[in-house]
This record gives sequence, C-alpha cells and structure tokens, in this order.
Amino acid sequence: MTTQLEQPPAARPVPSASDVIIETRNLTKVYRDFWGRQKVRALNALDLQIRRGEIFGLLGPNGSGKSTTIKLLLGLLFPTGGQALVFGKEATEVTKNERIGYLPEESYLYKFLNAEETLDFYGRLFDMSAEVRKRRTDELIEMVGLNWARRRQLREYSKGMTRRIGLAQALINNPDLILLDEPTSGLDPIGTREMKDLILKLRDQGKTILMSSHLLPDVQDVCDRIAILHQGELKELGRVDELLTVQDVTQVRARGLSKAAEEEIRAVIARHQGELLAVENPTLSLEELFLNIVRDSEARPGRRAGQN
Amino acid sequence: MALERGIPDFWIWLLGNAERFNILNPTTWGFLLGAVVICLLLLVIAPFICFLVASLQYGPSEAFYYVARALFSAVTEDLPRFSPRRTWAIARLAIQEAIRNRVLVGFGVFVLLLLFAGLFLDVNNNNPTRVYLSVVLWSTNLLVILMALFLSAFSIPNDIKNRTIYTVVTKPVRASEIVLGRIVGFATVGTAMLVFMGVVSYFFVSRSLDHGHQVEADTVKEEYEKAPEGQPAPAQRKLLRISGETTFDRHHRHTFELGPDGKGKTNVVQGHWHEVQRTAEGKYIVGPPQGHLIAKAPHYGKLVIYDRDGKVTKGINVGNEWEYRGYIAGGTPGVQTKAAAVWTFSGITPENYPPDKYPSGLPLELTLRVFRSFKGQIERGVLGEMVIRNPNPEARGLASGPILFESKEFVTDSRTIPWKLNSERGGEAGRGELDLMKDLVHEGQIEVAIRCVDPAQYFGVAEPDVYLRPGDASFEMNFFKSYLSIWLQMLLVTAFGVMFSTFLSGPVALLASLSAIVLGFFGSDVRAVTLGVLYGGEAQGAQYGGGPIESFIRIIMQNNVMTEMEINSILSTIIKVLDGGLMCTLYAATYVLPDYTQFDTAGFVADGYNIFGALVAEQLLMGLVYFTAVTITAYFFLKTREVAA
Repeated sequence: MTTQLEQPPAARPVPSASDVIIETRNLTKVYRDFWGRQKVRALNALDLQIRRGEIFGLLGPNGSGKSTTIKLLLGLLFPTGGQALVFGKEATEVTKNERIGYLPEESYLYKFLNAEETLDFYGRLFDMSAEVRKRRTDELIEMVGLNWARRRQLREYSKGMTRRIGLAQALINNPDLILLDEPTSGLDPIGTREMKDLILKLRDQGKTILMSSHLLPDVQDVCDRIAILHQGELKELGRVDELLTVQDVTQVRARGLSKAAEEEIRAVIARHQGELLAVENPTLSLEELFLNIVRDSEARPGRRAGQN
Repeated sequence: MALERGIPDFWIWLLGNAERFNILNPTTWGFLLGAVVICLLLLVIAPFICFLVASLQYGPSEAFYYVARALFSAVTEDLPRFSPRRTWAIARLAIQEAIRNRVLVGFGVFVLLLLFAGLFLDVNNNNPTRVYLSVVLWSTNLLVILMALFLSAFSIPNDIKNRTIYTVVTKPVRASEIVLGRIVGFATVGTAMLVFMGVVSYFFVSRSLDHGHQVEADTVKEEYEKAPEGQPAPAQRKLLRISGETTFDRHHRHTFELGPDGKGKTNVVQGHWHEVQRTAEGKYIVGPPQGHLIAKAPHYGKLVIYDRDGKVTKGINVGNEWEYRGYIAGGTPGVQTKAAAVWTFSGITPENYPPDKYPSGLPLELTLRVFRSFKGQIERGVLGEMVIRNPNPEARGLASGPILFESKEFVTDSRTIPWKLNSERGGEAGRGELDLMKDLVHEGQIEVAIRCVDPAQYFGVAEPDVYLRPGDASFEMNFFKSYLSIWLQMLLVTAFGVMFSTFLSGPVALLASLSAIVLGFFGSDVRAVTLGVLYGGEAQGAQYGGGPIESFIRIIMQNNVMTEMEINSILSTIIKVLDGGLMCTLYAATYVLPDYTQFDTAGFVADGYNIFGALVAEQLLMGLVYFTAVTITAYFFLKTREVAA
C-alpha cells in the first residue's frame, strides 16, 4: 500500500467526547430457531458510545458477539431489544449507509466481476456519476495495490487480494464511519502491517473506525479504545493505554548503581529527590489482559464492565 | 379452428358482465374488481398479518410501531429516494451473473432442438405450418419460462447464502431497488433470449416450409376452343386453359390451372399454394409457397341459437364439449325445422366492403363442427343451408334463397356471398333477385342463418365458427404478438420467482413459483376440485374421499371413499376442518394467481388467426397489475426481513 494519503500527525483531530457517532443502548440480540424458541443470546444489553475520530476495537473470542454487534449496527440484523443508533439514526435506516463503509469478515463479493467492475458496481450503488466512479476506482485500486490485477475476475484472487479489494469497496464513498470486521484476517505480516498503517491513516483523515478482531496485537497497535466481549456480555471498556496499565504498581528502572547508591536512592525516593531513570507502572500485554478477563468471566459469570 | 374460447370483449373482461354478476362468485367479477380486492388484501391484510406475527415477538405496541414505521418509511424514504441508477446497477449485475453463470445454455438447447426438429416433426402432416409454428412457440415458451424460473428463484437466496448481499445492503440501496433491479435484470436476459429465439424461429419456420416444385410435363393438358361443329379446325385455335400437375416434393403435389394468359395458381395442399406461370418459351415456373404464413383477421358476428321450436337456446349438448359450443339438429324429413344458428354481423357498409375491392361478394368462412348420430355416407359431408336475411323485423321474410353447402369436420369452407342473390321475393334489383347491400342490410347489419339439412345429423356452432374475412393481418405482427404474450408470462414468472426468493431458500422458492404457475394455469380445474371437496356429495362434480389429509388417511387405512372414516368422530371433524381450510386457501389462491391460460396464444399463430386486440390489451393490463402487485409485495418482504441470518 502506498502512503500518498499521509498527513502530518499534527493534523490529527483529537477525539471529541461530544460527537457520538455510534450509540447502542441496552442492545440485545437473541437468535431463535424456526419455532421461535430461544437458541442463543448472542448479545446482551450492550451499551456503547463511539465518538468521532477514534479507532474503536471490539475484542472477544469467537462467538462472543462481535460480528453480531457490527451486523446490528449495519441493520443486517434487527435488535431483539434495545437500540442501535448510527449518526443518531436507527441502524435499520438505509440513509445512514451513505456515510458508512463496511468490510465484512470475509470479503463477500461477486466472484464473477473483476476489480474494476466490482468498484464500479458499488459506486453505482452510491448513485455516483460515471466520472466520479472512474476516478474513485482508479484511486482505490492504486491505494490497495491491485493495479496489476485490476482486470482479473475475483474468483482468481488470493485471500489477501480479496481482502484488499474488499477494503477498496468499503472506501468507495469516502465514508465517515468505517466498520471493519476482522480486517487483518488472512493477511500476511506485511499485509497486516499495511492494513494497520492504513487504518491509522484513515483515522488521521478524521474518520471514525470500528474494528473487530481476535488478533490482539493488531488491536493493541491501532485502537484508541477497546471493548472486550465475552459470551455476548461487555466485559471491559476503556482506553487501551489505561486498560493495560497496572495502576497500583510502580516500577523503577536504573543502571550502574552500587548497593550503597541503591540504598541511597531508596532514601532519596523516600524523600522525593534525586535522579530517577524510570519510574513507571508495569504494563500487561493485551494478551495477558484478555486472558485474565476471559478467565475471570468464566469463573464469575455475569460480571459486567465497571462492576468490580 | 383453434379458438376454443369465446371472442374476448375487453370491457366485459375488465368490468364484468352486469347480468351475471354475483358478489359471492369471483368468476363473475371483472378483472378490475378482482384487482382492487387483491390490492386491498395487500394493503390492509398483509400489514395486519405482519403486525400479528411481530406482536408475538415484540408485543403489540412495539409491533404496531414496527409495521407503521415500515409503511411510513416506504412512502417517505424509499419512494422519493428511488434511484434508477442503483436499480440499473443491480439489474446489470443480474445480467452479468446470468451470462457468466452460463445461463445461455438454454438458448443452445433451443438451437439444438431446431437443428434436429426435422427428425421428429411430422412432415407428412396435412398442415405442416401448424406443426412447425406450434413446436417453435411451445419450446420457446417452455424454455424461457424455465429459465426465468431458475434465474429468479435462486437469485436472492444465493446472494444471502454467499453473503454477497451484506456488501450490497450496507450501501444506500433500497429493498425496492434490489427487487426491481433483479426483476429488470432477469427480464432483460429473458427478453434478449426471446428476441434471439423469435428471430431464429421465424427463419427456421419460413426456411423449413419453403420449397419449390417443377411441372410434370406429361400431365399438362392444353384445352383449346372447339371449332363449331362441321367446320374444320382453324389453324390458330384459341387457348382456353392449361391444367396439369406439379412434381411430388415434400410429400405432396399440386394440380394447377392456368388461364389463356399463361398465369394461374395451384390448388391448396398442406395449407399453401404456388403461383404458376408459363413463359413465352413454353417453360413453366412454379413460385414459392404462399398462403401458409397468414393471420386471418376475421370480422365476427353475434350468435343466437334457436331450437326446433324457434326458441332461443344454448344449443344441444352432445357430450364432452366446451361450454360455449352448442349443437343444432337437422330436420326430420318433410318437416321444416326451426333449429338454426343465426349470426348477426354489424358494420356491413359500402365503405367497409366496397364492391370494387370485393367484386364477387362478401367473403365468408365457416368451420362447423359435425356430429353424426348415424354414419350415413361417410365420404360426403353433412348438408347444410345458409340463408342471408335482413335483421329488420319489419322486413320480415326478406331473405335470400337457401345456399346449400356440405360441411366436413375441421375443414374450413371459404365461400363468397354474391352481391346479387336469388330470392323467391323480389327486392330493389327486380323480381327474383335481391341486392345484398340494399335489400338485406339493415342499419349496417346482416343476418346469416345456418341450418342443418340432413335429418338426425347435427352441426356444432360457436360464435367464432362463422365469420367474414375482409382481409388478413400481417403474419409477422401476429408472430410478434404471440412473443409478447410469452414475454409477459416470462415477466410474471420472474416477478413471482423474485418475490418468493425474498423470504424462501432457493429450492423452496423454485417450488413455490412452480406451484404458483401450475395453480395459475389450471386455476379453473383446481377450483372445481376444491368446490367438489368443500360441498361434498351434493355438488356437481363432487369429490369423494375428502381433502388431502382425509384422503391420505383413507389410503393408509384402506377405507372406502364412500363410507365414514373409521376413526373417532372428534378427530374426523378436526381433519375435515383442516381439509376445508386447505381447500378454501387453494380456492382463494386460484383467484389471486394470474390465469396463465390467458397468455396462451400459440394456437392463434399456428392456425393462422390474428390475435385479438382485446386479448392483447387484457394480457398487457393483467401483466401490469400483477407485476406491480408482486413487486410491491416482494419489496415489503425484503424490507422487513433480516438479510443476515
């Protein structure tokens, strides 16, 4: 992926607390079988607020309700209870789609079309004129680096290439809100890196991004805030840096100190003086946090975010 | 005569016949009332059912909110924001999908069928034109409908199964655009296929039927003017006529007759004739076949049948006949029977039938059915007489003398009623002669009365059996009209297929649309069966053994259909009620679904009759109404379902 869209970091807008793009209130989804019997409670009373300009990560093991949440937000599913609001409108309303880009879990695209035709088709769905479609198609194919394969049918594409064209179709309308379902799945390490760079770049352009993933390093690298779901329940919600900081522990690291000096530093620290090389809280890796939460949730079912 | 139904009257079809109207019997309703009722059902009952279903899940107040919002947003959101470009994008996609998934194989099958048609078509038939035209029209109809069925029933379910619909509905696409786009796309594929098939068929038929003959030199006879008796024959005798036979080609030969100018025609064999010409060198040229690809545009009259006492009747029923055809009996020897079939033709004016265009008289064709109560002389037809009468009651008895004719079953008799007719009573033209226009036409109307003269034999008559044939319509236009009705069928099948596919899985949607077609096609038969079950023993055409559940139990338990079921009476009542419910649903469905027999026009083209303008109008209106209703239904189904399941 090329980096032509890069902007200086200074231009990055600060996530604003007031500008809520996505809001869910008590959002619940129960899957029923043919006879109307409850099969599975995929999502239980989810309350979320996603603000303009942030990268929000939905985290959870398989079957935790990440995809259900995204499908509810897109109006692909209807909520059993509660509300899903996107841009302040009901998620089932079609008009919200004008400003949304969606990359599904696997790129569900028409295999008999080639890259150009695919983007042209999705451009038409946004009622774009022929020139605009042509321009956007060229830009996006260039951006995702598929220029060499633009006339090949998608059935011949590798998984990584399908992912890229899927991303391109999600961006065809220059959306304000981008929902990415497992954006890095199926990508090689270089592709993953490029995808993450692109996500950050999109954020720098002021777009709001909601991504779901079970690949923790990806989430840790790019997300501003995350929500951890497990068995349809929201388990943890907050800023990534805060969540990963162990608040009640301080870590001091120094080099080349004698025993005496060490003793002395302790004293100095005790008196709030002296030169400290590092005083910090130890951080968990996200993996540790995640596993902690899952373990904790299985041990104490029913605990929700914010109730300790 | 192909026309086994009454002559359609567009306004009676649309508004219903006021005399027969019965609110409880939808068969007597006009199409308009039926359409209004169907629309009411759609607009009122469908949302109500949606409300009931939704209230089971969400409770009544929420459910009301959902249904109201769906209806409200249909008008406020989806209608004004409808985009032709998005619809066309979906349609294009459907076309590309159809082409790239090699749906055009169907077209290949058709071409293959035509290539080998010669092997199975009965070339020795005495009307090969009908055979060829029926084959191409029926195969086209079948293949196009099958294609439409498969394309439409699997489209949306496949999209849902492959989840490609996720990327489509998350764009600002309305359910209406998806539904309409799909229908338009498949209809475009079907139209293209129909056009190709039509062109190929046309050339196939005209090429296959094209042939030539030579003249068998041995058979040619020249007839010269005879010299007056006793005088030697002059050197230069006057040529009167030439007759002869053509060679035997394509399983038939013609005889021909040429006038003194060396020009003439062959006789009609296998539904066609040729022009024959003798050149100056004495060679004969036989032209291409003519008269087989025609579209007769008859001028029909109104029929009244009188029984032997002179009373108006429906005619005698001689057995398994269509309801609209009645029979008149021949007289008893020595007794003048009053049984007659009288056609009244209107619009007989010198402007419509100028004598210079019709120099010898009014062209009339009759194809009567013959029913023999004894064998008689089987080689000879049954004798009948035709009288041309003045319909004015005050001009009583002003009628031509009887014109005798012989009628053979299924043979069309073309004759001309001369402008001057013999009569016992004189008219304007003088004693013993009547002028057709002046004496027999009253206010543009004329009566043609037909009687059967052979005692104890019968003529079967229906309104379209006797007609004036002022001229023919274009065969190509008729062929096109027939394709138009196939096209309308294709459109309806596509719309139904897409509608079912919005809430059923592919194979189930296929089955459902197929059932809709079958039920629509055999609507009146199914209706008779349901009534027979519902009314049981009392009704005409009663069905014994009960409805589907009851008869199934009877089969399993090996019960006689006439006895009571051998199970306890409460259970039996429950089964009867369930069966009754099923039958009522089926009965209602036969009225809601389109009557596809209305679109069957292959017979007209094959038999060389122009398709009625009224029939085309009925088809177009039916097509439009059903298309709109089905599309709207499909839109609501798709709008109110979760596409991610």
